[in-house]
Amino acid sequence: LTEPGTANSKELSATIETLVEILRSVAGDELPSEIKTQGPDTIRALGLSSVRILEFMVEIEDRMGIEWDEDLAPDVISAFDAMAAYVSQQRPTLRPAAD
Amino acid sequence: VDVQQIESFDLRYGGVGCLHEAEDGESLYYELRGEGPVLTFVSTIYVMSTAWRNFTDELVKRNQILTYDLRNQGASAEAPAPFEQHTRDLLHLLDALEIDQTYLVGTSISTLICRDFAVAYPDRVRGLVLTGPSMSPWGPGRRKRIVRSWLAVLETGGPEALFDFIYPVVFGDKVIAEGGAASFLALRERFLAINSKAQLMENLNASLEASDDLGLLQKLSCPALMLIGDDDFTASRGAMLAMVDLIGEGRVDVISECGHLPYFEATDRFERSVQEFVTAVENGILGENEGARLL
Repeated sequence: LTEPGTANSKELSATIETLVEILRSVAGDELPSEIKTQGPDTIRALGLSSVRILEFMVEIEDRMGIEWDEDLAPDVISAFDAMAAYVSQQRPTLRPAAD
Repeated sequence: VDVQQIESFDLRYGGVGCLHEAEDGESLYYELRGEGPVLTFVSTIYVMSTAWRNFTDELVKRNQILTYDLRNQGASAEAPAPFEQHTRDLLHLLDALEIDQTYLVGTSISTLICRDFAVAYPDRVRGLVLTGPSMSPWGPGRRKRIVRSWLAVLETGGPEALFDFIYPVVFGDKVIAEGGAASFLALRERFLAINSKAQLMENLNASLEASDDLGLLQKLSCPALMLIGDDDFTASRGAMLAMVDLIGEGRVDVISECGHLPYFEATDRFERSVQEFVTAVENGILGENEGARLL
């Protein structure tokens, strides 16, 4: 469902950057200045509360124009790169996030 | 007692909490915020100390909020223990913090810890807030069957299968419908992040050790607020009224359009209910059995 390769690496990097920006907008002071974005569990490692994760995901829907699929595997939600691959697949043309 | 300030123990804990050394040397993570009557939130498998920050924005303005992770949970020591250990841990923590009296706020399985503590140490408890209590005025059969069914799912499918199983049970219709996929996925992610299969097995099995002696409710000497959603899968208005009858002093607040976790599903009304109960107790105006209110 989230096979990388549906978006090129530049698009994925841009999507990851946008995801981090969105996360900072909902959980700013709870986050470290440096956030690791490659590899498994990079979101989970941030230890966000369920409320904050929910705000993050709703904000992604609103700002990136996608809809989450309830059948997604857990590792798509727990890592930036896997989430970016999914988001890119849902939204092939990356646009800058709204303010 | 050695209470160790921690600055960066765990990122998710934000450096605002402390570690308490329990009587056997194991560590318990806690947070203490605000000023006023002390409200101690006793965590359960769905909710850990840090999550209560989201559900106490109003309460912390007028009360002192103590939250902590049970042992074998969150940032506390990974040390499985008998269910009764939670009562001793709570006493030791309150002693260390020099808290003479507190309100206890429990949710689901942790309401059993609150009850046991209030029976064992009645002088330490001003009042009980039992949110979606895992006890019945008629006997233990249902609770134990539910826990055993969860254990069976956990054994065969792991934490992910358990979450799939309990999500539509513990949340009300409205939250599930309005929350959509984002809500399901976000809550599952947090559940999987904080619960290993081994911890869930140990903690659910330990909860089966809790007493279901109805006489314990009659031994309570403090007032109680039974706080439930009207879509709670296990706690009904009638059962809560019967429990207040057994306890002898208290009220039932039913929050409309939410299930087993009203603090999550209707935070404003949850906080209002708790504050009104605390205010009534502090002012000595809580009736013996005030019946049920719909919020």
